[in-house]
Amino acid sequence: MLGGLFVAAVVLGVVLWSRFGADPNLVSSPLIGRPVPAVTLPYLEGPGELALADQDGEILVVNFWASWCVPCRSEHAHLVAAAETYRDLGVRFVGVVYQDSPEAAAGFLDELGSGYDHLVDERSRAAIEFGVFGIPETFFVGRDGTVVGNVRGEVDTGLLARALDTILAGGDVGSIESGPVQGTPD
Amino acid sequence: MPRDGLIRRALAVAAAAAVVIVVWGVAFDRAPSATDRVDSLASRLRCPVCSSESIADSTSQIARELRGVIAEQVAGGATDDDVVDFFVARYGEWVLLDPPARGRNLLLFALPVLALGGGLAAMIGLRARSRRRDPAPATTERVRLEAASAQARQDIVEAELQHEAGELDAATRDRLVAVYAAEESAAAAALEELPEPARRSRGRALAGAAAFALGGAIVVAGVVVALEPRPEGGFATGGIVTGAAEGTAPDLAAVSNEELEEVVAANPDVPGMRLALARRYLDEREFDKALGHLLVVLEQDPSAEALAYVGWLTYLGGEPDLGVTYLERSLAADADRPEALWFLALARLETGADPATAVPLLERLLDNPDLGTEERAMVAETLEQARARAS
Repeated sequence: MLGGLFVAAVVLGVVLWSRFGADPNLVSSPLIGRPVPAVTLPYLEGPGELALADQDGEILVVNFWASWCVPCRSEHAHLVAAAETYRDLGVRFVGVVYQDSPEAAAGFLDELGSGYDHLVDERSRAAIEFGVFGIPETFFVGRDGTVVGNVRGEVDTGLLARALDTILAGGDVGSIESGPVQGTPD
Repeated sequence: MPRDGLIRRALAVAAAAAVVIVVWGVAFDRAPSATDRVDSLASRLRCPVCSSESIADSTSQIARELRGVIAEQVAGGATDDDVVDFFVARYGEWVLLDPPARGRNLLLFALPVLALGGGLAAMIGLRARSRRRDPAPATTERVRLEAASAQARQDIVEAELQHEAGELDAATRDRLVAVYAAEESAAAAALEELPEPARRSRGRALAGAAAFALGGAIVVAGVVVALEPRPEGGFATGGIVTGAAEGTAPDLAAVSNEELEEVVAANPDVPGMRLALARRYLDEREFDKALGHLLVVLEQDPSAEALAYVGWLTYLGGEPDLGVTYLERSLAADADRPEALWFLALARLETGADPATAVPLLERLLDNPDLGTEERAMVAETLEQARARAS
């Protein structure tokens, strides 16, 4: 009655079970529900620096990007548009340059438009604090300074609007996989 | 006594040397240096952007910076656990190259042990069984009928093989096969009539343990084989081509799938034979082939067992609603069908249905005395999780 099949079922069952548990390769960011990492980074263009944890009541969108990252190039216009749309609703977008020279990053912005502030993460300490696997990766921080969501992969206007509307309504976005990310320039 | 004196002096020198060696070792056995610890930690942590390499192995810029973070923390007095926790808090457990031995990961570590344990249990069971003399009459009858049914199936295979080898003409083959098929049907029918044994006989417990061990071994072997390069022209399973040597009776286990496939094709109306072939494919994870045969079996003899397998495969094949319907039909035919209880419970837990609906199924499964120890533990753990999710 019970035979090897039961074993096969057990193995398959465990595989299935892991689908609604945590898939080790698609882990949701451990940062969600925790305070935004207390990193302070200099502006790419212009003097001064920004402490990410010192937002007073603004929703923060933190986008990690680089000039060598292909999907970053195609998502950039969507980020700029959403930053413009949501500015008056108390949402601030910042870009964090990941593993890239300030010159190359500035060239990217000259070509595509900067739209909002960008920061330099010279020794990748911010990327490490955020647990960035590859770029593009975008984090959402609620008004109280808690990380409420992240998107690994490219964002577009629709995805950003849904996420920001959810957060403005007081909800959590969670972890979203939207597409491939790039880890290194090659 | 100069000789004794010499020996005593030699012993004293040896003892002194031993003391010196021990003291030397203690004095110079320093704790691993900071660099050693950084190296060791870097080799335990996965490089986030390169995924298959450790931080130590990767030459990427980010890996160098991660190594810098480790070095800073070690210099700042962090313990190894502190450093590992730091990375897990940011990247998740994914960052650990050695999965921690807890939660679901335990299965990774437990499976080979379970397989060994199962095999051991089977051996012990076999020895104990060989000493037993007189099993209960109903069990004896069941064993006799099962053997008769298996023998008939094997006889059919032999007849087919002998015909192919030119030892039997077609007419004789047909006549023999008809006789054997009738024997098989009669044995199967008589088995259906027998009351289910109240308690699992040792033979069946043994078969369960052996099957479990085999399953574990298959999984382990699968992993090993998957890591080995495939030989040219070889199968992914390491395929051994078996052929029945002339004049020797072929053992059913030594008959290849292709041969069994031909026999089933030649004798399409023996559901037991087809079900045996389907089980074989299921064990080999050849789900498509198994499903094909199971669907034929369903038409011939919609048994609870066949319904359960078809339900599960349909479910896995992307038709969850249809799969669940089959599983429910299986339970309608036999409310205690263990595979159906298990699959349906998993399906209910997985599809986002109310987890509470899985609880009675798993409870019923736990009531089954035929469940092996490992199977029981697995079911109990699933039940616990279902209850936790239901509350």
